[in-house]
Amino acid sequence: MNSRLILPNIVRFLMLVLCQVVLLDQLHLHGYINPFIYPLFILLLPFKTPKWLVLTLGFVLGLTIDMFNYSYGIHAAATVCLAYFRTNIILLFSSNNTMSNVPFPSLAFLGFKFFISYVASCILVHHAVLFGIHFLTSLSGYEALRRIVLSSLVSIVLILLSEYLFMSQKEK
Amino acid sequence: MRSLLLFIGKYHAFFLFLILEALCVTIIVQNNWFQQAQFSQTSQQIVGVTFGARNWCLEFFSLREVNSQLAAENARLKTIVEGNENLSPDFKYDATRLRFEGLSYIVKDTIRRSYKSNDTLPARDTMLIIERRPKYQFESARVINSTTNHDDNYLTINKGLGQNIKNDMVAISSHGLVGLINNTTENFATIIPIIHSKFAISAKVKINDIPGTIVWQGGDPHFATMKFVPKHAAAFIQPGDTIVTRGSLLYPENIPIGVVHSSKANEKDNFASITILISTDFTTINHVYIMRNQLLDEQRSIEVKNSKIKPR
Repeated sequence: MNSRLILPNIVRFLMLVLCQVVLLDQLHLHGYINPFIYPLFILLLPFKTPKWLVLTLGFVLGLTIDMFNYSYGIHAAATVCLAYFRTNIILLFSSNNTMSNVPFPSLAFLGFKFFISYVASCILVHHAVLFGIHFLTSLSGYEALRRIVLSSLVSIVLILLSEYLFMSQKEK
Repeated sequence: MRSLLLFIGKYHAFFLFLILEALCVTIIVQNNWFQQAQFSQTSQQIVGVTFGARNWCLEFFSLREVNSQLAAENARLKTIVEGNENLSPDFKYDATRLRFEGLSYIVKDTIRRSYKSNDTLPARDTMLIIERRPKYQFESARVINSTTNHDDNYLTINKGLGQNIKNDMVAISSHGLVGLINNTTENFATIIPIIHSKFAISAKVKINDIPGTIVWQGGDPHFATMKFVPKHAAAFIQPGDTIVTRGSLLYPENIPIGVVHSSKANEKDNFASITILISTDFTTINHVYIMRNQLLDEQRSIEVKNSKIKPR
């Protein structure tokens, strides 16, 4: 990762955490749907980021969210899981030349089809682990499934919207 | 050995993944790892400052509502003070020093601090001077963060050790019980509210003293369950009855918790469960009062002696 990519990622980390804890955590859509936008940080890391770094960043990001949520490790577990399976998901959907031409996943360069399948799979992994842990501790199976599906849908839509929002004029 | 190192090197990501997940599971299972961690104070400060800043912005939008709530609270307290005026004329002017002149007043929840025997007074005079201070001191605080959609919800308030807020103090709102302080830093404190999966409190129905235990089983933050109500007594509980605290070491008696919504008898055992509507609305809460029990340490110190007695 060269230095030109480090600063935007640090800014993105802070903005996403702030957005998550200040805005989204206060949303109570029907009381049960809580969307999560912070995994976008892991999703948008450059393709060539070493895997150990992705995992460590995932852990730090998850713990930060846990700190604000008083949820003690649940978000960290989900985000580390997402960080681990990220590479596999990228390989699943990308053609060979995408990763060599483009530095990091973006809606503008990789097209809508790749991006939405990438985002959707990653978010599903993340939410499945997250609410899976809730299921083990307190939720019923039906309730956990319902939350996985509904929260994932809202999260995916939010992430796509934010990508459109921050796409520079040139890229459009 | 070399091949083992190569093996680990090749799959380093997988091993790191396992280590990190194991760490997460440890944190989840231990549950209080955050409190024990070295950076816990710093992290709580960061969280407090962030939420404080957000609250500072949001406060302006709810000023009107808060204002009317405080006015209502004021009116309620004024009524109580006016009511007491007839009971004891001195109370109004000198709350800390009550004169008992041949009359006896019942002043609820006060501590006798010093008792001056009649050496300063004529022996035949029945006048006693008793200095009293309230058993509970109240400290108001603003709720700067609260969650209602988790299984373990917490409230963060803008006062902490610096304002003499300590663990195990009871938080109430103008409507009823809120919860218990469980963590404090210099300027912030967190509260475990009724809507926390591990919260439990012994309660009773106000009019007929039927006992039970209030717990929250997740889901809707407006409703809690009163468990372990004797089945034979459940028939005497009507929807709309007020549920109050039964009183224990930490909780004073008769703080409202909620009102009865509906009851159902459990077929399996001898207890009934009652759904109650919680008095405090946790989705809109923004002010709490922290009750400082002046006698808590004293009561604790005597109760702890019992646990030290060894059976012969």
